[in-house]
Amino acid sequence: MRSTWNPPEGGEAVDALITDQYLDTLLASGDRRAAARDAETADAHADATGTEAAAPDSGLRRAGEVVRASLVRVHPSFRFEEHLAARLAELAAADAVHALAAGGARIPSRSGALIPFPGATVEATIDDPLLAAVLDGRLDPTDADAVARAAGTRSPARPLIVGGAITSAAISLVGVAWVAWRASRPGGSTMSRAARDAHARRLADLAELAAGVHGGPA
Amino acid sequence: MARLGFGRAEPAAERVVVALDRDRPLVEAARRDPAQFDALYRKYLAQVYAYALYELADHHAAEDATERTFLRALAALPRFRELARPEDGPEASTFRVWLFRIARNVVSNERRSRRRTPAASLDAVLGAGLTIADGVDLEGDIVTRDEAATALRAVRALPDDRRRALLLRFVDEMSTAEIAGVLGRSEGAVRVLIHRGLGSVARELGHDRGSDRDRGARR
Repeated sequence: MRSTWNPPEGGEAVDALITDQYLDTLLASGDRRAAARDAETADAHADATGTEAAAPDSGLRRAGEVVRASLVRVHPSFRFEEHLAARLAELAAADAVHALAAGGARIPSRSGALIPFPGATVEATIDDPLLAAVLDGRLDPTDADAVARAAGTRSPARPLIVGGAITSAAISLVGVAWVAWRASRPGGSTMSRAARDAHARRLADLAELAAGVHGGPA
Repeated sequence: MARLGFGRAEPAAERVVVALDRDRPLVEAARRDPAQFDALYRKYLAQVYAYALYELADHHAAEDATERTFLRALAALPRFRELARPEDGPEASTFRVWLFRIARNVVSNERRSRRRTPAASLDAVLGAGLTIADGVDLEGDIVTRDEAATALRAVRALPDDRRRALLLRFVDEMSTAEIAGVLGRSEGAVRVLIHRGLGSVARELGHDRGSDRDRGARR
């Protein structure tokens, strides 16, 4: 139903203010009967003294009580809560990578922070061939021997945070490289193909969402 | 009454930005590290979901709307501007108002798209999660189930602005000032919307103002 707005007439603005004050009491009261008792007391006082009661009429009060009792706050399922939390974490990580690519000096994330090594810039870190190898799926970042071979003369091995865990070597964009490697690594099983498809769709969704949000008002 | 400075009627000169938003620490943390948005998400998840559920009367649609709301909020967080003022008091949260403006837009879009499809029957709507569950405590039988069901139907039949104002007031327990910010109306207009909405519910409940007519005549 469309909105229709008619300006208040007569004493309606005053009645609305009284109703608002009553609802403040009703909603703030742990014992919801207290607000009703207060209003009844105000009515009785008004009747006895012939003055105007500072409470809405009994019909509105009853409606307030019923609506308050009926419109309970409903919590979503735990499964949905955790699903959305995971999606938000993905978007947060994607934002961090986006900011890193844009030249940010220190990019925090849910799993850790990418901090350039002394003497290195963030840009140099992004261009690191080891990282490129990991992202291309040519290097398993969890294989210390493979990383050492790929690193060649690099020494000493650089500590790294991947998904919150410290590994022996290699460079990571806060776990993103690991995810990318897992997504790009060939796998023959039906489950592997399904997982890669789902991951690709999710990345596409995130990219679309980010483009839409950064391009227009919320 | 505290005012948050969101209403259209607010003069621009009054919109003085001060550091009083109760969510400021969480918002600043989320700005520094987007992963910290999780705290704001957990804090307001139930409120946004409940608002969407009562608006859409569909569990799955409410989840979708909730998801879109928080994803948009996270992505748009750098553009959020705190607008609380000293007189708003320590409980003011312009972040919550901002978040619910996003939710309102998402839910409105969903409702518009649903209008293009055949409307569900009232029974189906009520069966989608808006019936009074057996486990719900109805204030120690102060409120009967029939009354509660009638009230829900009456709320759903209200015009959009009155229904939204009532839901934000009762479900999310927002102040009039916060609702004014969410709906883009003045506080006075919001008070009247709620007053009229409750009046409609009272009539459906059979509690017309006739019983108080003599009192009303005194005014």
